[in-house]
Amino acid sequence: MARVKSQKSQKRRKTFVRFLPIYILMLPGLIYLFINNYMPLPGLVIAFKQYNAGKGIYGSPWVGLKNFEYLFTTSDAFVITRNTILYNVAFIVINTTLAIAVAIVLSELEGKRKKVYQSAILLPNLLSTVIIGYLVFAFFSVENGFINNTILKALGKDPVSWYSEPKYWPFILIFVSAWKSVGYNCIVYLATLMGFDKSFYESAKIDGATRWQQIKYITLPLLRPTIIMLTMMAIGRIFYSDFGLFYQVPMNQGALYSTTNTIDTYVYRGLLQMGNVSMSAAAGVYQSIVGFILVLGANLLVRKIDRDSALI
Amino acid sequence: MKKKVAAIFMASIMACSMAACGSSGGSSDSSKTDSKDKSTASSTAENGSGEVEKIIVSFPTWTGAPADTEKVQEAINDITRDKIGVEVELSITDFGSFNQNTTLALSANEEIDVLACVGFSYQTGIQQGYLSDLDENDLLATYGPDIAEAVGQDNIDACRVNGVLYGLPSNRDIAQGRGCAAIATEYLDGIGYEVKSDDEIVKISLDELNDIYAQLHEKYPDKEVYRPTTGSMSQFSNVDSLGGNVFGVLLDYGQNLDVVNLFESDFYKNYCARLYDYNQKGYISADASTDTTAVGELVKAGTLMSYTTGGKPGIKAQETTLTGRDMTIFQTLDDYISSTSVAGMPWTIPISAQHKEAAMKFLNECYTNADVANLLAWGIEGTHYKIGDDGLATYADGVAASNSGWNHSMGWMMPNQFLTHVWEGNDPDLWTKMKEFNTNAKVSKASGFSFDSTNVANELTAVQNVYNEYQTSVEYGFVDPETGIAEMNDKMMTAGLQKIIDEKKAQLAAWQEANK
Repeated sequence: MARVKSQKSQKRRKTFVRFLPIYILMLPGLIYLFINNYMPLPGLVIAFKQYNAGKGIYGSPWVGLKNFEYLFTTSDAFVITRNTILYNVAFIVINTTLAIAVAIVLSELEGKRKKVYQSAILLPNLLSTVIIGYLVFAFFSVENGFINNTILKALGKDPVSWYSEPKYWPFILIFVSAWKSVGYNCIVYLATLMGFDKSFYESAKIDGATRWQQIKYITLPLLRPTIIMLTMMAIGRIFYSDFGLFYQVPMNQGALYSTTNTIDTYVYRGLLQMGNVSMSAAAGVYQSIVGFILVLGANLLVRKIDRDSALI
Repeated sequence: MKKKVAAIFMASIMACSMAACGSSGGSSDSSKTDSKDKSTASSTAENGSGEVEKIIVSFPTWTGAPADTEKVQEAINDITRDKIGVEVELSITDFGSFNQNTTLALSANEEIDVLACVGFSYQTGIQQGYLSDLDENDLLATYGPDIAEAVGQDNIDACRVNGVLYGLPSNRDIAQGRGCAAIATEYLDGIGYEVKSDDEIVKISLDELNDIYAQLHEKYPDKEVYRPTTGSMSQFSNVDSLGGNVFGVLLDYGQNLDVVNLFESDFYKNYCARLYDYNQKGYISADASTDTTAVGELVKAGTLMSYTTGGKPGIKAQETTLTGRDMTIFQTLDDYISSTSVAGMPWTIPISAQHKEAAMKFLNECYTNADVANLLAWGIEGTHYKIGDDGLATYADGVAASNSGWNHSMGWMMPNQFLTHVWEGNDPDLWTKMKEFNTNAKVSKASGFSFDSTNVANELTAVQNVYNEYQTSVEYGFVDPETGIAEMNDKMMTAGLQKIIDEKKAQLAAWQEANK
């Protein structure tokens, strides 16, 4: 019995030694993860305390779930959860579709033109969201904006007060997000596309396949693993919103909260405008829990559809 | 093996998704050690260079750190280094970001030794435990013995919350002329309006003001007549916002201690109706809620003619300096000291201070040393200002409002404005007049009352969220007050507004009982 055990441990040691270089490679990443993602975890208790900086995190009195109450006494929790999830679902569907379409179009182009187009599409991604916010403002400003002054005027319609009408903002934000991120998103797809064996397309052409048929029956099936992987990664972040997009682009307008407030902007406003650390932490905990459930749920779904692509 | 690596990888992904809230909460932990490191580093430096302690003094100005901040800082240090063994580092932020920056710095326990609670709420600071007790170890009595005499013991006591002193009031215009409108004089000349009084602040009725606006709009249809800001409603009201928030207020200059819901009051309805009317007439820019440019800048740029301000002796010169145009100040309501005025903008020592004694010594200097007070308010004599033959201060030779390296027009925020030079364009007896102004104003009956919001923290946050959502559209007159106010009020009631009002009622009654 003892011999079997020692044999086993010896074997284990051998494998450990064999894989040592890989473990060492992993080390910096693990240290980073530990410092950045594990060390702050004890801070979660703030959400359950009435935080007082004078008494410190551990000296502050416990208050149970009291810090969570304000989320649920109003419709706040519902609104921010709904906004965060629906926007991200829309972003995943629309931005992925657009990215693939643009990648396919770009892959058909050749030479210098391709570089110019690709750079032009990528450019918005390099802009700060604050600047994008003002670009949007240049279009939608009620008095001096392009849309009210040029387009609506030409159509003979009344100017619209864009920054006080929440109903328009889902469309505006989705458009801005697509415009901003399509260039970046299509890079991975484009790289994958360039690696496809050209002989598939050549033989398809000989068989008389049209462009559309080539895309439908060759390109898209080959892209499938990439699409699933990138979508999974996006779903993993479905409960996190692009803060700049939701805070800067609507210019932090109170009247637009019903369609632009997401969990991240809510927590930010809560902490920095109202200065209540505990309640912001409570909203953060809520975000983590719902996010965790969503990731596991999405993974479960993917595993049912395509076992190999699931993460766990 | 592959599985194991995969498992660790998965675990780390999970961790990523878990960490978001941790990072906001835990940051105070990690930076605590950080600032401790810093303090040991600085204390070793001290030992090297003698007994001088270096403190960080934080306050806002409208536009952020002036160009000559370091020069002024050096000039202050030249005085304080020898006299009290303290060197300061001025940490100045623009007014718009000050609240956020301060909250962030305090929650991360970054060192701030002296903090002006201007734009950053004194109440929040106390509730979150960011401010230290100034009586602890007789800090005030030992290191700031002259402060009480400079500002008055009554005013100091007015800053106590539940008996604990967290901040020191400044000597300034504690009263506020309510219902004041600043209008650029050139436009008044344009419509041929003649000011019928020699007073610095012209008293008129609201109807007369509306009449002036109508004429201005007719004469200058391309210019914005009036631009509201988030503070306009309370400046243009006679309410006492107990505890620094408008959820449960006293009406009629706080003359009776009956806590009411502001949003159901006639005053609020009339106010919003007036602004709605302004909007219908096109007085207010449709971009007013999105455009966060300071009103002074808009007047300077020549696109705006009028805005709301708080009246006080010297306001005309102050606003004229601010906008670069001659301003006329009108007042429609009375001068008033509300229950939150005295403790409205105190100077504090946060718990993240590393040198509390030095901080108090420095504050003592600010309250009593005219040289330090002048440096803070006007900069360096000869560089930024000079004293004219009439004894009033003015820009130094070759310096103007536009290129001065220290021209923040925030003298009122500094601990003791009464020690400083009077600026040109003002009455040479400005500070005497200011004291009279403070004495003659109507005083709220709740003066001295401080609200402890611990029991209703949840409701306050929820109601504040609703207010944030509706404030600009209702108070800037973008929606019909008939429907807008009711909608906001209903939502606030759901969020717990009544509970806040009841709590204020109870606390006020208890306070009244104790102070009979």
